[in-house]
Amino acid sequence: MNPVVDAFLASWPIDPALWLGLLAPAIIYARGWLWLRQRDPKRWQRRHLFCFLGGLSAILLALGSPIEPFAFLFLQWHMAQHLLLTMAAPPLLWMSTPLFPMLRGLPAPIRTVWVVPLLRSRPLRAFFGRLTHPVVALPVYVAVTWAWHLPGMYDLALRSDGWHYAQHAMFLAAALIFWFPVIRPYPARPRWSRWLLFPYLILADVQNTALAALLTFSDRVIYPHYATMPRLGGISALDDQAGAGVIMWVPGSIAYLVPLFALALRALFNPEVRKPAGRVPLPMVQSRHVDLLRIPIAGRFLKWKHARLVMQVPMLAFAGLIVYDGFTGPESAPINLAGVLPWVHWRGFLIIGLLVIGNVFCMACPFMLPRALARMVATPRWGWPGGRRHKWLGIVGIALFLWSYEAFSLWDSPWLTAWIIVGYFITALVVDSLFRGAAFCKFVCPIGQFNFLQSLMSPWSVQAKSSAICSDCRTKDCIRGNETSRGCELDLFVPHKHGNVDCTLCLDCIHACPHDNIGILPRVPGSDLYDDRMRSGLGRLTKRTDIAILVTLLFFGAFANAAGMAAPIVAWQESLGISRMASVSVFYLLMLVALPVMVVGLASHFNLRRAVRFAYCLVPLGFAMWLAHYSFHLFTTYDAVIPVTQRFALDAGINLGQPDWACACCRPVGGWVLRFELLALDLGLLLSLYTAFRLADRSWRSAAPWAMLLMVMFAFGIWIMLQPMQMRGMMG
Amino acid sequence: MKHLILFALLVTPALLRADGGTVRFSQVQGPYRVTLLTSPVSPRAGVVDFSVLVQDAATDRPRYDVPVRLQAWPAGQPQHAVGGLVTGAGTVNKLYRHVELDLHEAGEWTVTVRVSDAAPIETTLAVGPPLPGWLDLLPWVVSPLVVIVLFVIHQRLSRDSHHPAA
Repeated sequence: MNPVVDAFLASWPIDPALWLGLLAPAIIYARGWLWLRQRDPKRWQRRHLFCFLGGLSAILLALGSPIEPFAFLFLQWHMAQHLLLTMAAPPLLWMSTPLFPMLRGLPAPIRTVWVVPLLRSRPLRAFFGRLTHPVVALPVYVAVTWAWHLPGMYDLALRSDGWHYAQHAMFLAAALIFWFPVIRPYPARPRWSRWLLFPYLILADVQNTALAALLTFSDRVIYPHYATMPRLGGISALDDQAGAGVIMWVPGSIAYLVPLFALALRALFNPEVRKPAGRVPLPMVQSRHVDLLRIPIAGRFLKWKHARLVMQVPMLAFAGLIVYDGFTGPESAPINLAGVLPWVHWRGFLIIGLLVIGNVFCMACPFMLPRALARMVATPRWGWPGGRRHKWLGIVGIALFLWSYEAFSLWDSPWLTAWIIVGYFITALVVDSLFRGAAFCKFVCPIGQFNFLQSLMSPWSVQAKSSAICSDCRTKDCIRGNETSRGCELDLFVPHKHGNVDCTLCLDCIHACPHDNIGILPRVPGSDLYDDRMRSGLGRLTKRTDIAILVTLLFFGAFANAAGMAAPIVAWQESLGISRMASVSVFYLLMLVALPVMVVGLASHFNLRRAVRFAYCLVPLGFAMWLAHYSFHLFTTYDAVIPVTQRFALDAGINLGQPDWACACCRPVGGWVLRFELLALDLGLLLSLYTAFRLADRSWRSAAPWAMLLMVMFAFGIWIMLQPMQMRGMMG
Repeated sequence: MKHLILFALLVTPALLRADGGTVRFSQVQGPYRVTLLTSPVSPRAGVVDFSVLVQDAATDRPRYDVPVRLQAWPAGQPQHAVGGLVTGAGTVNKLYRHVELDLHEAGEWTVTVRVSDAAPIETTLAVGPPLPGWLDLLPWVVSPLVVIVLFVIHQRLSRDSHHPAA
């Protein structure tokens, strides 16, 4: 075959953004179209789906096929690319009547909160109505077409990817505006005479013909870029230009004349009847549950009564190995299981698990196993003292942990790490041997408190599937338990449980419910932060000073914990000229006490009620900071586990190969890691700002001080991320 | 406003096209026509993509059976030459072969392309100073501002839908 043709057929650009950008609307449309077709198959026909997919395919052909790279070599291909964007894709997309399928196909929260208010906006509707009136649409289309065919503009697009994207986007947008009055997709109503479309299409064809003729008959190369390009197949730049003119002329004219002909036929044989303008109802919205428990294998496993035990046993084994190596292995953290697994892998997977699923660590928590064994022997008699139904012990535990992590360099001491784990087991055993329920989880466990609050950002939650079934239920097994399963030990009554706070994902309620009415259902991450309903086992969040302080501690703790490994902070601590313990104590006093009191005090005008109410807006940005920090360690040191395991195995007399300590040594950090961290902070900031806005009852003025606080801390977070980091848990 | 324009000017040439770009020369050398293209259009110190198209001078048919080497050095400092074999691996447009070179400093660079045993073709390339490192990260840092502006517009429009003008 001809080598040029070979090269053309093999030149497929790789553009994931384009593919994703087209795949997403295709899925949304198909989802909505299926829903609508099930209800009204006569109105929603297959041709609609084919038209939509055809329109997207035309865009893909133009931008994601060999046409794209060859458009820089040949004006003909560039012209074909533009025709696909202006004359093929837009009419096909409008012929698919995309509004209702796209609307219906969107996830309900996006549809109802973000899109529907825009569609109802009078100024926006008026603007779109004016823009798509033939008297406006035609000049817009012609202006865009001619402006981008000026030699200077055309060459600009060929010199810069950015301008080339702008050119394509403007062509597509102008063409969508132009073709709208011609197709008038449902539910658009006629606002002008059909006869107006005759001069509309004729004028569009005339300007197209004029431009095409200019290209075809010109005796010089209009676009200098193509004069410099290597020539192939004996086609001169001038021939190429004439060919481009012909492509624009003939297929272009056909694109205008076919609808003109169709309109004429319809006008002659099907006189227009103007229907009175009435409101077109939006499709009814019905919710349908997506339930993690319905996933074929995983769902069945989770519903199994012993699923939690099966997850806890390996975690207990890991904990045992870590403790054993921490006490008996080498004291150098990067070559000890206790120096790597808890501080690199466990923390990373914990935060990613919270982001993707929910509180999966508490679900598989190994600390619960010894107490389960103890309770087989004796049942605790006491309830947790009523006056202490709060999180203060957890708050103290977290503050102590954050301070001691730096003060005693816990990440650097396998021996201390092992002792922490042993201490955890002992405390859990003692507390839960004395007090009924899950007292340790709910009131004491610092990891649990961390998970409870960060799981407010999780996309899944244990919820009742039908509130009607719960209303009719008389036995309330989900909280009282029954002979086959215990009820919720954290006093969360599922019909009144909103969000993930205090939920350990133990799934006891699911196993106990005789109506199979509890699932792990999707929720909008962060939506519970500004929802101040009464919550079972918690009350109203805005009345819980202890939880608000916990939120604040974890927020500032996230920054302190990450800043503690930033080189300038470490240098500052050393410059104080005092012992490490003292300098770390000063730093943590500043970060966990002085700074929160000052900035939260200023934002709330030193009003405790206001501070408690708004504190929840700190959760998303705090979560983002934990995510950025912990995922940094995981992504940069994930394979350190291999040589450590090999070393541990060798010590135990098992040869898994010689450890390659290069895996546990400093390496350059990939640029994508920093971008991931910045993206996490970006999203955290945006969700925090939105939460503040909602907590302020959509008052910009009330939200402003908190927005300032969040922006300042966001900037601090960016600064931390850009600093050289101590690569902890690695060989220096 | 002037900062925006400056930002646009700085960012625009930073966009790297995978291969192709601006033609630096297209000339016949022995039995071959050799075309050299560079991307980005205005090279800056850092990685620059060099694409080469070798054609038969008589028939214009692309030739992939001849080795092509490309070398570049700061003007007057051939001892600091960087270069390599120009190959088809990783190109989007399969007409070309390419190589990415790290032109580590700003200034004038001499570039030579040698096709098979033919005499090398030499050209000069003006390389601008590198973009500041923070500019690469700037979109990631300021993108929330764009979303905030869109959100404000959204709220304004939504409010208008809830409270139609009397």
